Parts: sequence; C-alpha cells; structure tokens
Amino acid sequence: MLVWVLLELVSAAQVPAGHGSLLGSWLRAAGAPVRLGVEGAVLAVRDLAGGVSDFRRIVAEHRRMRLDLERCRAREAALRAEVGMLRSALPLATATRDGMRRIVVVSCRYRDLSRGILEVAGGLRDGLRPDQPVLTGDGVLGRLWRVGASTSWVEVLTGPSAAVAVQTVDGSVHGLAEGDGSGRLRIRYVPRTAQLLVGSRLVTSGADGLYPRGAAVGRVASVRERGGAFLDVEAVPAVDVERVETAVVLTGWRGGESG
Amino acid sequence: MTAALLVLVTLTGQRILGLPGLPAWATDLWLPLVWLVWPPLRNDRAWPFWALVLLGLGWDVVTEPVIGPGGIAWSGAGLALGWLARRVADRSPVAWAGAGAVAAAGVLLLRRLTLLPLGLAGPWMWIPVLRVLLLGSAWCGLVGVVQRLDVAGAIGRMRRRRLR
Repeated sequence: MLVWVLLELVSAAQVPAGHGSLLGSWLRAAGAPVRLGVEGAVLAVRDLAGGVSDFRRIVAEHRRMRLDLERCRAREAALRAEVGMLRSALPLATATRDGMRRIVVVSCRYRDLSRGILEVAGGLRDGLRPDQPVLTGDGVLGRLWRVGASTSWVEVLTGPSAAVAVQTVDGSVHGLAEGDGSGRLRIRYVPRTAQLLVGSRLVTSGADGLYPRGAAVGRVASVRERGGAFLDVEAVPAVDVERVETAVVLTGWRGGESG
Repeated sequence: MTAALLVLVTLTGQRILGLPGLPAWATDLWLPLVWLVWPPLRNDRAWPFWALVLLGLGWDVVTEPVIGPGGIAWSGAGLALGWLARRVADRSPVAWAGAGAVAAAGVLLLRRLTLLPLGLAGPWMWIPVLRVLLLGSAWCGLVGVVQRLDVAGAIGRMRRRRLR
C-alpha cells in the first residue's frame, strides 16, 4: 500500500506545471491503468473482428481456388484424352486427301454389339453423312449407317451385316472381312493358293469404295482349308469395340478415292 | 402414373446397360420385357393396345436407329402373351420365366418381320438370340420370385405391427 502511495506521489510530481492540480493528476494517475485496460480491450476486439473477417475471406478464396483447380484438372484430363485420340488418328487422317481439316470427333453414347450398332453424338449439323468411315486410333470401327440431326448410328465391322474389303499389308492377299455378331471377323474369298499366315495384319484395300486404303482392320487368328475354292479365315478386329468411347469420322472422305 | 414412371425407369436402365465400358451382352438383357409379362400374369389381362404401342415406341426411341417397328413388335408380343396367359393357369415363378422367354421370342420375331420390308433385317445370329431369350427368362423369373415373396406386403404388415 505504502509503495503504491509513493508511486502515485512520484507520478503526480512529474506532472508539468499548468496541467491541472495535483489532485487531478493523482486521479488521472489512479485511472490510467483502467483507461489503458479499456483501450487495450477495444483494440483487441477490433483486431479480433478484423482477423475473423480476414479469415472468412481467406477461406472463401481458398474454396474458390480449389474449385478452379478441380475445373482445370478436369479440363486438362479431357484435353489430354482428346489430344491422345487425335494423335493416334493423325496418320489415318493425313492419309486421306483432305487431311485433319475434314474429320469430326464423336463420342459413343450407346451400343448394342449383338446387332453391331453403336450410337454416337454428332449428326447432320456436324457434317456427318451416311456411309462415311468411322475410325479409332487402332483402326476401322465401321461406317455411319443412319445419321440424324444430332445423333448417328454406326454399323461396326463386327456386326452381322457389316463387310469391308481387306488385304494383307504387302497387298499379296485380298478378301472380304465380314462380321458375324460374335466379335470376330470372317475373311471370305481368300483363294486356297494364298500364302496367309496366322498373325498377319489385315488392312483396308479400298476396293469397296467405302473405306480409305491402308487402315488397320485386324489380325489373322486362324486359317483352315475347306473343300471349296477358298480358305476359311478368321480374324481378330484391330478395334476393341467393347471399349470404344470416342471415334473419328472422316467427313472429307469420298468413296472411290483410294487414298 | 406409377406404371408410366416404372416404365421410364426400366427404359433408362436399358439405356444405361448400353453405355461403353459395360459388357457387350448387357444389352441383351431387356428390362422393359417385364411390362409384357407382369400385367397378364399378375392381373390376368395385358395392358391395352395403345399402352403396349407406347412401350414399344419408347423402346425404339431409347435403343433403336429406326422408330416404329418396336411399336408393332412390342404390342404384338404383349397381346399374344395376354392371350396365352388366359389359357395357362400357372402363375409360379417358373411360369414368369417361361412368359419372359415367350415375350422375348415374340418381340424378336415380330421386330424381324417388321424390319424385313424395310430391308433392315440382318442375318439371324443364334447366339445373341439365345442370350436374349435366356436373360429375358431369368429377368422375368426373378421378378416372379420377388412378387411371390410379396416384399411390399411384408413391409406393410411389419409397419402395422409397429404402429399397434
């Protein structure tokens, strides 16, 4: 208590002349801690409120940036897929006379492989027309069968009524690949004298006037001799029809041009 | 209203079965087939002709490149099954399975007949046909088993017991 009174006296004595009475100085000195405490509390509350406001703004910003990041990642994945597909289709597209300017990328919406049909997004508005060849990076998928305004149906090569003229890569053996609905291709009209080995690659010959020449069709899986004039040849298609999600339609291709 | 909603659900399910990535045979399971089998076997009379035509047209819109033949095929098969159900007393799950196969066969046959004049009927492939018959039979048989178990009734009884 005595120390406190002494401190108060010392403080009051430091008040310069003309700044009020000694009693007033004492009262101010006694109230100073309270005033400082209140001022400190007000400042603390104001800082706290500012901090909370800043925190909320940062959280909102963080959320927005995360959303932007997710959107960018999704877009990157989609672009990567598209670039991959276009890159794999590039050799085929450049092989045609019109090149990359005349292709349309379509995505598969529905397929019924027992009947050999596949619905794709894209139609007359996109420049699609019946009988245009449909390819994937692996090879020929089929041809456009029915084209609507915004959706089209593709007849896949493995379908029961599909056919494509094929040849070996060196062009020594020719035939007609037909689908049978089972997921395989039957190669008709291969002469008995033909030198055809299991594993040989088959490509389009262009003789049918529907498909450009040189696109992969499949690989020979079995060769059997039968009584007739032709060999019984079976092939595995180059395109895994079950997994097709996107394909390329050669809208610039006109039947009869052989690449 | 409920029936229309359920038909929409099965047609949507049928569409989903044809999405890329699912097994190729999934589209041979014809979910809406149950709407040809349910009415005659459950209520002893098929749906009216116009409802069956709408069902067939819905099938065409969802799964077919050509709209129209499905209306004829599905309505014809539904009416034939209704006629058959009036002459067979059996309502067991086995009968449901049999009716499923008959309905699938009817739709396949009639659709083929309707596509012939259009020049769109391809060669007849037996393996997919057998798969459609088998899966249709299994699907309708399964529905027959479920309705025999009377799950909805059992739930209702359980609720009533709880309320008491």
